[in-house]
Amino acid sequence: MSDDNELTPEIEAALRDIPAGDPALRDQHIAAALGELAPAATMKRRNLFAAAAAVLVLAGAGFAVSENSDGDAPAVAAPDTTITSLPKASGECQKSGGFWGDVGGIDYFTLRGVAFELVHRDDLVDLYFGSEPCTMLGTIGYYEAMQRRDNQEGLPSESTCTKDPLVQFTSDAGGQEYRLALLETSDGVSLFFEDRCNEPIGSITLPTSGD
Amino acid sequence: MTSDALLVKRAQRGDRNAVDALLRENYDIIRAVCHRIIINTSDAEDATQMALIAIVRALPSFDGRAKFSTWVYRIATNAALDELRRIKRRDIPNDDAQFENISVTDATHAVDAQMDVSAALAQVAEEFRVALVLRHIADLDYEEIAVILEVPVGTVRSRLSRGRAQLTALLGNQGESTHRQNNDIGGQP
Repeated sequence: MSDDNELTPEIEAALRDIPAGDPALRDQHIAAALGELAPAATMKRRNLFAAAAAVLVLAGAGFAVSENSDGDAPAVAAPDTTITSLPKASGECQKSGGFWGDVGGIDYFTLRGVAFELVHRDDLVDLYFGSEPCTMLGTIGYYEAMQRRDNQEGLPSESTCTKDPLVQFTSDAGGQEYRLALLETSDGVSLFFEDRCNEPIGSITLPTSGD
Repeated sequence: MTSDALLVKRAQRGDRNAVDALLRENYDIIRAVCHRIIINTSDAEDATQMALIAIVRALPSFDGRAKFSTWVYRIATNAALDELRRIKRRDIPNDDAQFENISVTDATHAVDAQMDVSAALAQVAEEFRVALVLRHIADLDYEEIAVILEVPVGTVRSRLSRGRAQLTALLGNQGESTHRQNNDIGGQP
């Protein structure tokens, strides 16, 4: 919508000409505002991780464990019957929408007879056991990696993934759209760009007999 | 999703670095809105602080229906108006006295300014001044200003028109006015 009558450029410039603030005061203002963040967000997330860690201990105790003799395969085996006696989680493996309500989708896959769920949250993926108690095993963020690619900084050489991926997906979280792949590794899973398969963006180690 | 939208989402998840980045990105304009609405420097800094805190507290409820910047300006404007109300309750008996007081005070700090827009702006009625700030400092269009002020677009148009007229008239006499004020100040024993 156009203006009926604008201010003269001189007056407009004078209006915008506000003396710069003291950088120390700016930092103080921002620090005080960030102080509002700690109790609301950080603690909730800390509690979530604490709960996940507690369940992980139980799951690790009940999980049937096998030493990996195949080299590349993760050391995860199907759960034995003791799994069913573990405490039940309150939700269904994040199907209700996730802790922050920002779940963008869920991929399901099975690795050595164990069901997993890969929960997408913007520029993050969370890996869960796919059956109750739906323990969260870890999170991989790929925003920074995408930004590096967008800016073409510190890229590994091109190397297309040849292994069958557990999950493939496309994301434009960093700006441009890229294809990503979750692959099985010797001790868990790793996330790669499909055309940069020689350097993982992040990895999650799956529990073994030692965990 | 744009990088700005992603930054907001990260901030909403409680990512401290993202919140910090968002606040720094918007700090100057928040401060400018507060300074131009309130005029008095220290009160404007208080309003800036309150606006930042309000933004952090309200981040989880930002639903993305408005542009993030518009949402930020709305919070900054409300913080500035709250501060003005607090100032009035604190020590100013009426609006006219407030503006006269601020005008002289600000002129004292701007004796060398050729165009003391702060002093002039202080004499523009508050509702016109807020509209001017949102249009000419925050660069919002009429619809966005209407949403923030919760008034019809026609009212925004009217307030802007009258505010511009007042400001232009005041600045038209600015040289004489500032000169007189400076002489008055300088002439006091």
